[in-house]
Amino acid sequence: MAAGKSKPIDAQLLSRLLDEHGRALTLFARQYCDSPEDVVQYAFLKLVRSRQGHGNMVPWLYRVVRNRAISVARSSARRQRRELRVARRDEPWFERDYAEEVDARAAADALKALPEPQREIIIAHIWGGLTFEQIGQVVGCSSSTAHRHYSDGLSSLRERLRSPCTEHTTKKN
Amino acid sequence: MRKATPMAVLAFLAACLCATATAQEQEQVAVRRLAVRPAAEPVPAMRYRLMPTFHEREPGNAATVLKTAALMLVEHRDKEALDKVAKWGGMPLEQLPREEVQSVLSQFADVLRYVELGAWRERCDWDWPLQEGAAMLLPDLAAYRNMARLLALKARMQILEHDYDGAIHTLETGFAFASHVAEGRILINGLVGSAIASLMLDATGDLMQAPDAPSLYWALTALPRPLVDLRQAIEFELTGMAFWPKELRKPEQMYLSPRQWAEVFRSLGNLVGEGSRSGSLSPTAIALVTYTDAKRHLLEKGRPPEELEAMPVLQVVAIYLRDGWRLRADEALKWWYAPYPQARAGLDAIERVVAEARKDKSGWLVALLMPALQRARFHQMRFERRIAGLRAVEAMRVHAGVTGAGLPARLEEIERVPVPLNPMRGEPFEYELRDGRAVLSAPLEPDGRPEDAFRYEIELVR
Amino acid sequence: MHGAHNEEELRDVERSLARLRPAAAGIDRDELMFRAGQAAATGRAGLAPGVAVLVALVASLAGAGTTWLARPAAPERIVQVTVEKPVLRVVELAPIMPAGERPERSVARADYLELRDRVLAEGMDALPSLGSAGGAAPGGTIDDLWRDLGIPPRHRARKAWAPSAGRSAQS
Repeated sequence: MAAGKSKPIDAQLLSRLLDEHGRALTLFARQYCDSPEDVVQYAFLKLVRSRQGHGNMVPWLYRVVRNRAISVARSSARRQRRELRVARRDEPWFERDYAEEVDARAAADALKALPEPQREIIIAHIWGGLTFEQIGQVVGCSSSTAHRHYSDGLSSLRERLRSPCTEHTTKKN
Repeated sequence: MRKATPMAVLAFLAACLCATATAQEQEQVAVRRLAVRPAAEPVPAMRYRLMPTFHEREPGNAATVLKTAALMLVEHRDKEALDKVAKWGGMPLEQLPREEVQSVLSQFADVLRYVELGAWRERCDWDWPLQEGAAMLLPDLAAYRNMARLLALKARMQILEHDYDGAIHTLETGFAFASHVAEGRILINGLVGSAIASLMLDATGDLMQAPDAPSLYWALTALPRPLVDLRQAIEFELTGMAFWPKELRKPEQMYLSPRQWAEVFRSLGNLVGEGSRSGSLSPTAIALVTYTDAKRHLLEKGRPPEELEAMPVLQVVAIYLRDGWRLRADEALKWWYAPYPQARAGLDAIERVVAEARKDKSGWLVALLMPALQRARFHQMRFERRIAGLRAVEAMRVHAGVTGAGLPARLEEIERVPVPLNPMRGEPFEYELRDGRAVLSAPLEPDGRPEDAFRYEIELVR
Repeated sequence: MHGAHNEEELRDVERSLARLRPAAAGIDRDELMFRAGQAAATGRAGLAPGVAVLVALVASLAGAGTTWLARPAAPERIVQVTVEKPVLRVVELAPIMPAGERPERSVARADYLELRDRVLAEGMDALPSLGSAGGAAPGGTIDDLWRDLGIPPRHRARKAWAPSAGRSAQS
């Protein structure tokens, strides 16, 4: 989605945003809370309700998702625990593809083990496609700080995911 | 022969009609006839009991043993014998085929032994899988009904054999069994427990009429009141919304996706059943019909509009339906807590509450899920009235035993022991002595059926 | 950790991770479109909620390419679709029945509710007969158990009921 002037939100645009960014936004939300789909839907609806384009809407969506997910997570922690028949526990972060050199589960576990600033920046950059400047606006830091967190996080991931021969070593939290 | 005049014919026909109407009226009311003998109070006073005291019981969970007894009963696979037991239950004592009855009781001796072992335990935790909700199956209950019939039959045979101590012990076992069954936390357990206790009361009536039977006045008085308390079950099913999908109990606290909410409403559809009468219960349909009202309801309650907009449609609907349920459930439940004589009018109004709920979308679930509360309370009170009635008859036996006279002309003449009131009305029973027979009765309740009437005709024999 | 990283190695990690595809979003697309249409239609234009729902419904049914604008003219653009009638016909509230007289249903109402209401109306006789209540014990019968222990069922001692046994061993 290229940066550009504001444009009204119509069904076609909404549909395209959902197709292109829905998965990555959900992954971004999933690191904070148990109901990432709700959070992402909230963000899209907020976009529609705002009745105007936001320049490049994608970073805007990431910011809304982040704020909302953190808020939901805080509320959830205060609520009584309950077992939901329909709730899905321990949802996979990535699709499994056994041909890939990095195991999806191992990658998810390694990401979960990272400090939050590193994790959220890695997700936003690799899967969200955001630049470090855009990421800085989302999380509230400078682009250089964002880049530094990114490099540190990748380095940690490299250590965690490094595997002698064909075995993967993972540390589960 | 002189021809009858038209007026005479009319008078005759009118008389016939009146007599027929009276006969029909009388036929509709079931009468229990008791032929009792005078009896002094036992010494010591609590020599006989119909419910074990706590210290007499064995530690442990009655449910495990009673379920074993149920399994044993099923294992016998003798439906024919159990059908006979059911038939014998309604037969007058003197008509029971003794040898055949003894043979059947011997056949089921193991079951009876385990019922006794279970009934005399201190506590009872049925540990039903309540998480199954309304899909829960309770196959044991039919077995408990048969176990109760066997127990009552045993007591009646012991009465026939003049083994009154044995019969009282068996009745004690039976009332304890009934009390344990009723501890199941759900309404049907209470109803079945109450029915089991009624079978024991039938046999108690037989014992009261047996030659030289002891006075059971204090044994009946010592029975817990209410013997079967449905309060916990009613609260569980109404306030606890026991059989709702749990997500619908506190929907405002749930954070489900729209798809998850749709699943919840589909499971609700399974609960209430789908079919032509209830219409389609598709979540989309529910949302489209109720969402506007639901939103308005929440706005009126002070929910911020932006918060409302952010909520999934079905969550808004869920809150609305829950609030609608709560309103009517509390309206019905409050009368449960009032003493029955004062609560009757309120309980009668429950049907109106439910009928009106149907006209309002927020009351949709009330029509489908709420139990007939007034009927449940009536069950409970009718049973209590029976106990009170038998106590009153026992009071007459004591009175006759003390005074050496016959039945009292008025209940107020009985001074030795208190005569219980009719618990359904909070006032004395109606009593009349006519031609040496006493009639103890209570008016037919508005919500009662003819078979629910109370009328004892008592004869004192020597 | 800070300091220089092996940039080439980090690029390798980055490329490997990028090949992973985030799991499917799990967002109900229809629901989102419905809500979005609703959100777009309501607001300062002051549309009645019911009309707004219809507008959103029709808009979402009309498919992609529809532009939602909160202009007062929006209701006029919504065509002559009498949505309300089919919508309101979908759900028919069940008529009130006295306890025990439940309507016939093509799919059985939850077992407990049916049983509860029948027993309330008819008493204990409404309980299913023993044959329909389960038959043989699940997982084998007691006779099977005796057989497993090497004791034929016929030889299993049964306590005979003695009519004049008096109080049981409990007392």
